[in-house]
Amino acid sequence: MEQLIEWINRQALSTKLKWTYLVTSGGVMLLSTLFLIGIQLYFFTAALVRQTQSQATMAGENLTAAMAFADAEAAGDILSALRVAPDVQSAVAYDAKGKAFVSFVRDPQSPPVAHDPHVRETEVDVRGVSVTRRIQVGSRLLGTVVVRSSVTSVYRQLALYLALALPMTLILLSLSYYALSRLQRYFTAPIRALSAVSEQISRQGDYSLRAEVSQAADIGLLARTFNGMLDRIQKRELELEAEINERKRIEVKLDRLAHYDPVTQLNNRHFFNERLESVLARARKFDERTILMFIDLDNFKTVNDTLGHDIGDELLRLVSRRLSETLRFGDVLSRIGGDEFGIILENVSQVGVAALIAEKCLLKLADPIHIHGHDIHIGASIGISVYPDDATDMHALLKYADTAMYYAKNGGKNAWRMFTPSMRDDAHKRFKLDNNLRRALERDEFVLHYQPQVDLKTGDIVGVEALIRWIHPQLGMVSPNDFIPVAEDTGLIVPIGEWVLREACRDLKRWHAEGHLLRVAVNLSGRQLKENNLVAAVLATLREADVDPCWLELELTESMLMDASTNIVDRLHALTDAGIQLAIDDFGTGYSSMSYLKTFPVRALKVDRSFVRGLPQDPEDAAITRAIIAMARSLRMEIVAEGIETQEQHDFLRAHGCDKSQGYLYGRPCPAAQIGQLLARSGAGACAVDSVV
Amino acid sequence: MMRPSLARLLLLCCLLPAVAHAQAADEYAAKAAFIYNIAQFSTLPNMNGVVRLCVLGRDPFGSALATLEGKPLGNARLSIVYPHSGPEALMQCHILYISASESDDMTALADSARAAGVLTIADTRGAARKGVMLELVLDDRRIAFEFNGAAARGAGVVLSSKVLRLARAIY
Repeated sequence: MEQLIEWINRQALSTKLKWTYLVTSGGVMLLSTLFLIGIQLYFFTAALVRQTQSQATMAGENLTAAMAFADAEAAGDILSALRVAPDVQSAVAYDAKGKAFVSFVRDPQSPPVAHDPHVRETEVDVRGVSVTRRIQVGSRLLGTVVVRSSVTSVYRQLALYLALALPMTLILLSLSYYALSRLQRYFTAPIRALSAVSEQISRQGDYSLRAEVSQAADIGLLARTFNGMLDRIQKRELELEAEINERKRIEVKLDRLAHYDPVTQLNNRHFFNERLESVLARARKFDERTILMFIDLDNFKTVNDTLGHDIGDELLRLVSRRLSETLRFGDVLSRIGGDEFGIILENVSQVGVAALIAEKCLLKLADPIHIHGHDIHIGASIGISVYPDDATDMHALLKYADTAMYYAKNGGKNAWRMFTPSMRDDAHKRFKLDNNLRRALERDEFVLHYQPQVDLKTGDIVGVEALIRWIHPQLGMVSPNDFIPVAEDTGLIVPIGEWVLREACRDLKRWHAEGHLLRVAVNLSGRQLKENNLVAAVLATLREADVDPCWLELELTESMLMDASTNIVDRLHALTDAGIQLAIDDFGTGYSSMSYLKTFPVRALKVDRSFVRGLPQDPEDAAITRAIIAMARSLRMEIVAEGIETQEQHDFLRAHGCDKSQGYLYGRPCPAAQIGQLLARSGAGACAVDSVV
Repeated sequence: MMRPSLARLLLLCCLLPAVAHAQAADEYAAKAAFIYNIAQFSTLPNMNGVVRLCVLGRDPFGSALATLEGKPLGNARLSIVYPHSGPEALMQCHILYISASESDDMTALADSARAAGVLTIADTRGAARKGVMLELVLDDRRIAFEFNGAAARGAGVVLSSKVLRLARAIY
C-alpha cells in the first residue's frame, strides 16, 4: 500500500489527473451499470413473477374441471400447455389432500422440487419463482397448482445487457481518456512552459528570462510569483556579481600594493624574492645561468635631504626608467630598498654579460638628471652574483650580491663588482669580528697609539692624533680598516669612541701635568655624530679628565658633513662653542664643497696624504696643495698635512705656509708611554714601534 | 410408511365378499358426485336461489344423492326432487336425471326438456344421440360423458368449456 502511494506520488500531475478521472468515471459507470442491472433484475424478476402468477392462475382455473372430475389425462394436457411458456420449468397440480396429481416437467433430468403446497403463494429465490394457486370451484377447494419458473432467462438477459454495456463502458472510457489527454495538454501547457523556462534558466544561468503569464487565475498566479522570484534572484545575482567584481578589484589592488612599489611602479622586494625563487627553480631545471645584480644609488640620501622627498622620488622614477631602458625585455627590475634596485638576468650564456649590463647601467646613470631646474649627478654601486657559479642557494646569492655591492661602494663608488670567494672570506671575517668586537671593550683589548704632529715653523711637537688599535688574543693586531666599518655597522662605534676619548683625555692630562702642552686629535665617526647626547658626553669626559676643551680637536670627514642634518650642525656649533676645535680629515678626496667650509664651524683642514705623496715633483699635487693652503689661510683656518715621509715634502709644505705636519718623517703612531719619552727628549726621532697606519 | 399400507391391504381383503354390491353403490355415488361437478360448471336458465336436481323414474343412487341435498352451487343451493311424471319434472326441475326406467320416453322427454331449458342427464347408452344433453358413461371404471351441444344450446344451458374438453364425445 505504501509502495502504491509512493508510486502515485512519483507520477506527473497530468498522469494523476488522468487516472483520477478514469477511476472516478469508471467507478461511476460501473456503479450505474450495477444499479441498472439491479433495477433490471428487479423488473425482470417482477415480470417473471407476474407472468408465473398469471400462468399459475390460468393453469389453476383451467384445471378446475379436470381436478373436479379427477381427469389426470386432461389435467396433464392442461399443464403441458405451459410448455409454450419457455420460462416455466415445472408445474405440479396437487389434489385437495396435498398429493401430487399431475405434473409437467420441462427437463426430465431435473425433476420438480418437492413442494409443500401450503407455503406462501409466491416465492422467489435465486434459481426461480414458485407460485402456488388454489384450484377451486366456487368455494370448494379442489387442490393447488404450483408453477415454477426459472430465472435463467432473466440472467441471460442481464448477461446480454452486461455484454453490451461493458464494451460500451470501455469504449466510452477510452474515448474520454483520449479526450482528457488532449484537454490536459491544453491545461498543463502553462505548467510545462514554466518548467521549460526554469530548465532553460538552470542550463544557461540566464536570470533575465521570464515566464509567459497565463490567463488562468491559478497558473497565472504561479507564473507571476515565479517571475517575482526570478526578479529577486536576478537582483541578487547582479549584487553578487558587483560585489565579486569589487572584491576582485580590491584583490588586484592589494596584489599591486603587495608586489609593486608605488613610487617607481616597479615590483618591490617581495615580488623580487618570489620571482628570483621561481627563476632559480627554472634555472636549476634547465641548467641555465642566472645573474643577480644589486644597484645602490650613491649619495641618494644627500639629494633627499637637501632637495626634498618629492625630488628624491622623482629621481627614483627617472633612475628606474633609465635602468629599465638598459635591460632586455623579460629581465626583472625591482626596487628592493630606499635607493636600492635589484635586477635578475635570466638564461645568460656568459658571465661577461653581467659586466656589460653593469657598465651600461653606470653609463646610463652618468648623465646628469634634470629635475625642477636641478642638475643631479648620481652614481651607483653595483654588486653582482651569478647562479650557479657563486652559489646555488637564493639567500646566498642575495647576500653575495649585497656584499659585492658594498665592495663596489667602498672601493670608491660609481663602480661595479663581481662577487669573488675572497669577499665571502671577508664576510666571514666581518662576522667573526662582529662577535669579537662586542667583547673587546670588556676584555680591554683596545689600545691607543698616538702620532705626533709637528709645527713646521718651530719643529716642535704641538699635538698628537689618537689612533685606535685592537690587539686580539688570537688574531693579533687587527687593522682599524677592518673593524671600524663593522663597529659602525653594529653601532659599537659609539662606546668605542667614548672609550677612545676618555683614554686620550687621560693621557693628555698626564702629558700636560708633565709640562708638555700639546693638543690631541680624535677621530669622530659619523655614527657618533648622530648621537643626541654627543656634546654632553664629550664635555663630561673632558670635565672628568680635567682637560680644557681647547686642547681637544675632533676630526670629521667630508662625507659626514655632506650628510649632516640641522641637528648635527647644531651639535657641531655646540662643540665649538665649548672651545673644541673641529678639523676636516682627508680634505680633498670627497665632495669638497666650499659652502660647508662656510656653514660649519671648522677651524682646521687636514690635507689628504694622496696629495702629499707626489710632492714636490708632481705639479698637479703641488698645485692642489698650494691651493688648499692658500684657501685655508684666507679662511683663517689651520692647515695640517698628513703622510709626510721625506724632507722634501717637509720643505715644500713649510715653504708654502702649511701650519703643521704629520707623518713617518716625524714619528710613527706609538703608545702613550713612548710619546711621553719622545716629549721628554723634546726632539726629533722616529717612533720605534712598528705599526699599521 | 409400511404399516399403514399393509393395514389398508388387509382391510381391502376382509371387505372382498361385499365388493359386488359395493361396486354398484360406488358407481352411483361417483355419478352423484359427477352430477354435482357438472352442475358446478354449468350455467342454467331460470335459476332462482335453488337448483333443483330431479330424478325421474327409478332412483338408482340410493342414499348417494341425499348427500348432495343443500350443497351450494354458486349463490344457490342444491335441492333433490323426485317428480312423478315427465311434465311435472319439466315444470320444476333445473337438472333432470332420466333414469334407465324412463328410457322409452327418452327422446320425447329430451325434446321437452330442451324447450323447458332443463339440463338433461342420463346414463343410458345412446342417450346423448337421442337428445339428452349429458350421457354418463362408465369407461374402465371411470365415469366419462358424452355431450349433446345442440340440445344444450337449444335449452340455453351453458356447460363450461373446461368441462367440455373432458367430454368423450360431443354431438
